[in-house]
Amino acid sequence: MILLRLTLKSLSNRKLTLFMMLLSISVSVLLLLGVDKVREQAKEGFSSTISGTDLIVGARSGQINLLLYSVFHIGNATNNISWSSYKAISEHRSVRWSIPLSLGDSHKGHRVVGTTTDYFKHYRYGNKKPLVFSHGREFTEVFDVVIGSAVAKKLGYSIGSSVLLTHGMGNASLVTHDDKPFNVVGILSATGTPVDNSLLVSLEAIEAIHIDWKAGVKLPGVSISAADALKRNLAPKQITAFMLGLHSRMSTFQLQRGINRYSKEPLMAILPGLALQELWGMFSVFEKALIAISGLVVFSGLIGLLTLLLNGLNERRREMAILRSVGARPLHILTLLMFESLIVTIVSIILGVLMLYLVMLLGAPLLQQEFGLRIELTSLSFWQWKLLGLVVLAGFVVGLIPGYRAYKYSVVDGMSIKL
Amino acid sequence: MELVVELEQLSFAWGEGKPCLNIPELKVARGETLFIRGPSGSGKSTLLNLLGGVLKPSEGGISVLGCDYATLNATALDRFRADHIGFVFQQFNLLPYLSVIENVCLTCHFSPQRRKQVLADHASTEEGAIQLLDRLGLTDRALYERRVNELSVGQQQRVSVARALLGSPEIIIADEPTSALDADTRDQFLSLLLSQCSLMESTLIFVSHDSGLEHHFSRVVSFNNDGDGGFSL
Repeated sequence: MILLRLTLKSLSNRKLTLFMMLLSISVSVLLLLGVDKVREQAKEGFSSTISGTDLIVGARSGQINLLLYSVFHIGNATNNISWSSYKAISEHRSVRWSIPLSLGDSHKGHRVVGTTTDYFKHYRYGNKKPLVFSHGREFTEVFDVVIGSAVAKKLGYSIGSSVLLTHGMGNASLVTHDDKPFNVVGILSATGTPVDNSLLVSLEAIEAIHIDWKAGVKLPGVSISAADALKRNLAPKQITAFMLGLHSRMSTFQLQRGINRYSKEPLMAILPGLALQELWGMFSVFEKALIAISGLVVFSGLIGLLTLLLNGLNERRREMAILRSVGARPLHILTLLMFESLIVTIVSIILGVLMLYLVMLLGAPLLQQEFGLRIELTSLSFWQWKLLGLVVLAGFVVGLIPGYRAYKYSVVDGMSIKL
Repeated sequence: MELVVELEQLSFAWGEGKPCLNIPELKVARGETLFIRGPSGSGKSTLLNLLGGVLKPSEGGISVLGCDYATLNATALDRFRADHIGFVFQQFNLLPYLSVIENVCLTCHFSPQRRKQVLADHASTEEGAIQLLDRLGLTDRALYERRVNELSVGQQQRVSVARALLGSPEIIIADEPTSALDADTRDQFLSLLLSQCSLMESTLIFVSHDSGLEHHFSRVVSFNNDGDGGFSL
C-alpha cells in the first residue's frame, strides 16, 4: 500500500509530466474509440437503411447496382420494367405488400421517388421502424410532394412550399419541369437513411411531368399545362424497381427464383440483407484501415508515455537511492514504476472515454447535419472494452521497460546518490 | 565488548579491475562513535554500500550484528538493512513529495521490525516521529505537514536524522551529513546526533573528509591512498 501511495504522491509532484502523459494516452484512447464508434455506427446505419423488405426487384443487372439505385439512390437503373410485370408479380399469392419505385428525376441534387402511399405504410428501416411524418400528411393530389427531413432542413422548405423537379440527376444545366410546380404537403422525420434526402411523389405525378416528353427528351413544340395534364390518363406505364414484402419468409427463395426466370421481361430479384452485406464487404479494406490507423495512434501515444517515463528516470535516481536507503528492495522500485504506468494508463482510459462521450454529445448534431451520420450515445461494445483491455495491457508492457531500467539502476546505484 | 561490525581482509573492485578499497580489519563495538576520515573519491560511498549490503565485496567478509552477509541473499540483505541500519546522507535525502512526518515514517513501512519497535512505546509511528523531531529541536508542529523543500538545510538534516533513528536501529551510518551546513549549525547538529545515538544506544559510523569534527568521536580511522588508485583503511 505504501508503494501505491508513494506512486500517487510522486506523480502529483510531477504535475506537468503527469499532465502530458495523461494527455498523450487519453487523446489516443479518444481517437481509438472514436474511430471505432464511427465505424460501428456507420456499419449499423448502413445495414439499417432498409429492413422488413424481403425482395427488391429491378431490371436485370448486378445485385449491388440494383441495391444502390433502389435503396441508396446512387447511380442509375440500366432499364425500366413494365407496369404489367409489376402488377403480375405484386399480385402473386405469397406477396403481402409491394412498393413500386420510379426514379430518374431530381430536385436540387435530391432524388425524386415516384411511388404509392404504400411507401409510407410498408417501408421500414433500422429495427423495423416505420416512417413518421413530422409535419403534414401523405400525398393525395398529383402535384403533392412529401419531402425528407434533410431536404426540408437544407432547402428551408415547409408545408406549402413550391418545388420544381428537374429531369435527371444533377443541377442547373438539366431541364426543369418548370411548368408543373409541386406543393409540399408532408415532411418526414429524420431516419438517418437516404429517405431523408429524397422527395416522394405519386407515380401519377411522374407520368404527368413526362406527358409532353418522349424517350427522355421534351417534345419540341408540345406543351401540356399542369391543368391539362391532370385530365389525361396518368396511369403509370413503367417503373424502375419495386420492393416486396412476403407473407412468409419461407417463400422468399422460391419467389426470387420465379422472378429471375420471369419470361416476359429480364428481371432480377435480390435479398436486401445479403446485398447489403456484400456491399459492406467492399468497404472492409477501408474498415481495416481505420482500425489499423487507430491502433497506430494508440501505439504512438504509448511511445510518448514511454519517452516521458524514461526521461524522468534519470532525475529520479536520487529518489530511488533514498528509497533504497530506507529499506526498499529493487523489486519495490520496479513495482513503483509499474504502478506509475498502470495508473497513468487507467486514468487516461477513463479520461479518454469521458472525452469520447463529451465529443459524441457535442459533435452528434454536427455530424448529422453535415454528413448525415447519426451517432447515438451507445454504451461501449464488447469489442471496444477488449480494445481498452489491450491498451491497459500495452501500458503494463510499456511500464516494464522503465521499470526494468529503474530496477537495474537501483541495484547498481545502491544508496549512493549519483547526480 | 560486543562487536556490531566486523570487516576482515575485505577488498572491493568494480568488475574485474584492481581493488579500489582494501580493509584488512575494521571492528566496531556497540555504542562506539566512529569517525572515518577520507578525501572525496576515497571509497567512502563504496564502504557504506558494502555495510548496507547493497554491494558485495570482491574478497573478505562482512559481519554485522553477528550476521555474515555472505550467507544472505539480496532480498534478505535489503530486509536486514531496513531493520538494523539507519542512514543519513549529505543533503537532499528526503523525498520532496512527502511531508516531514511521512518522510520520517518511511522506514517503518519497509521494516516491520522497526515499526514494531516504535509501536512498543508509542500509539502510532507518527507519534514516535513527532517525539523524535521534538527531541531534535523541531518543535514547531506547523512544520510537520509542510513539504520538505520548504525547510532549511539544517532542518532537513534533522528530519533525516529522525528518520534514521526512528525504530531504534542498532547502527546509524552518516555520510557527510554536515557538508551543507555552516559552522554553527554543524556543531549543534553533531551534538544532537551524538546525544540521540547514545540515548538510543545506537552505534554511530560517521564518514567525512572534514577532520575538524574528529574530536566529537570516540575513535577515528582514516582512508590512506595506496598509491595505485586504491584506498585502504
